[in-house]
Amino acid sequence: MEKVLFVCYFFAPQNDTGTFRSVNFVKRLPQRGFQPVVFTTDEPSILKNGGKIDHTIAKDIPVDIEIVRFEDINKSYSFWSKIKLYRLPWTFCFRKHMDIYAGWSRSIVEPAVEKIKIENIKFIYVSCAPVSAAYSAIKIKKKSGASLVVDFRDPYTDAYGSYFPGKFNFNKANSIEREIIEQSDTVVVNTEEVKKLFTRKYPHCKSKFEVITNGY
Amino acid sequence: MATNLINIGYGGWLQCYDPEDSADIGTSWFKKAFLDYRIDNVDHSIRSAYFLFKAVQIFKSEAPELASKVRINLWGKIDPGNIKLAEKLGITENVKISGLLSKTENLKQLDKMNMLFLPMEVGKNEDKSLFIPGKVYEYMLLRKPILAIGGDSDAKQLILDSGLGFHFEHDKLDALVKFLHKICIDQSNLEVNANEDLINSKSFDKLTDKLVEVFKNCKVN
Repeated sequence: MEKVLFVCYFFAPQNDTGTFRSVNFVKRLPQRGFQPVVFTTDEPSILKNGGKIDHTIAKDIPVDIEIVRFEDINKSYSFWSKIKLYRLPWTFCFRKHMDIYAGWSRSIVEPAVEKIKIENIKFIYVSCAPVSAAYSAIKIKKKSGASLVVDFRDPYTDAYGSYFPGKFNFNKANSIEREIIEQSDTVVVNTEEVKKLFTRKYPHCKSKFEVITNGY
Repeated sequence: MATNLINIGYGGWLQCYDPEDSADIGTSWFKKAFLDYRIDNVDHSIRSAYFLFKAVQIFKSEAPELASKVRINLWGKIDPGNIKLAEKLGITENVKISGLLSKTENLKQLDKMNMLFLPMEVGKNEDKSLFIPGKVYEYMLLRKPILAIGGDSDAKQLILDSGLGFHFEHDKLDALVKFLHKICIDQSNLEVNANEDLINSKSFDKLTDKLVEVFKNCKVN
């Protein structure tokens, strides 16, 4: 059975819209010859960040799936948000603080590289958002040599809800998006229209885009 | 659920929008350049219960007895402003708001409904919304009629193609009021002709097959 490293910050038991796609893939991949190893966050971190827990989401996940949970410590975010100045690192150090999960995303790089080497994992699948996880996955890929599949559950710089600390950092976000797309082996998007949008923006990467819609 | 009622259900996160209370906050060039830069191609304030509430209010003023059959059931992370909005529009007896349910309970609750509500956003200028809410697929799984309110979007096209959708523009409430009237008189007007091929293609069994293909092609590369 081929192993796949699944990097998905949002995963069971977190009751979040970002959770279900990854959970549904993880449930079904073993029957198709791929064994996921999930890297996600832990329950105390979910609760600390205001997330909701729903254990029914995990009920059909095969028991032999390895789920490795990492605490979302993110000391830097906690410090700056405590003194209500998170905007400072977000604005002046955007690459390091692109989203509030960036600390968690950085913390999984070394363990992921080690896991890939020990278990001879060939593929990394990253569910994105958070974009910081996909950005970290580039480093994991470079250090481990595994193939990288980035799944954009929604567009990043073109998503209506996205909001950036100024135009300057919006341009940085675009360059991060470009880097993720150029460094990935395959970029999965969830609608044909998003594929068209990405193909227009990154015509040199058009063969990388695959559509896998959402589902039930 | 009582059979003579038309239960319209929605489970999940729902903001409150009231055009009378919403001010258009302009963004200065300074703010855009250095502080907040937002992707502003879609009006997502429309993605709320306001237009459905408003249609029920109009329906109630035209046919109070028939309108009493309409029940809007909202549960999940529902902005409490929706309760005030229902009071303001005089439709509190038509609206029931409750808390968050587990994923399993949510599906069970949706399945009890006659119709599932899908508020959608509206594209600005020439843009249309690319966003397809995850709940569209839950609705497809249940093969229930979908009451979609909003503008032109990929989500609208998908629900119309699924054969489950009744779509209404948010700024043409007359059509929605007529529809509510029609279904309250005869619930058979809610019958849908599901496009099974399309709906089956959205099962995660099929989608996981695609992901497996992605991995296999990566392997070849």
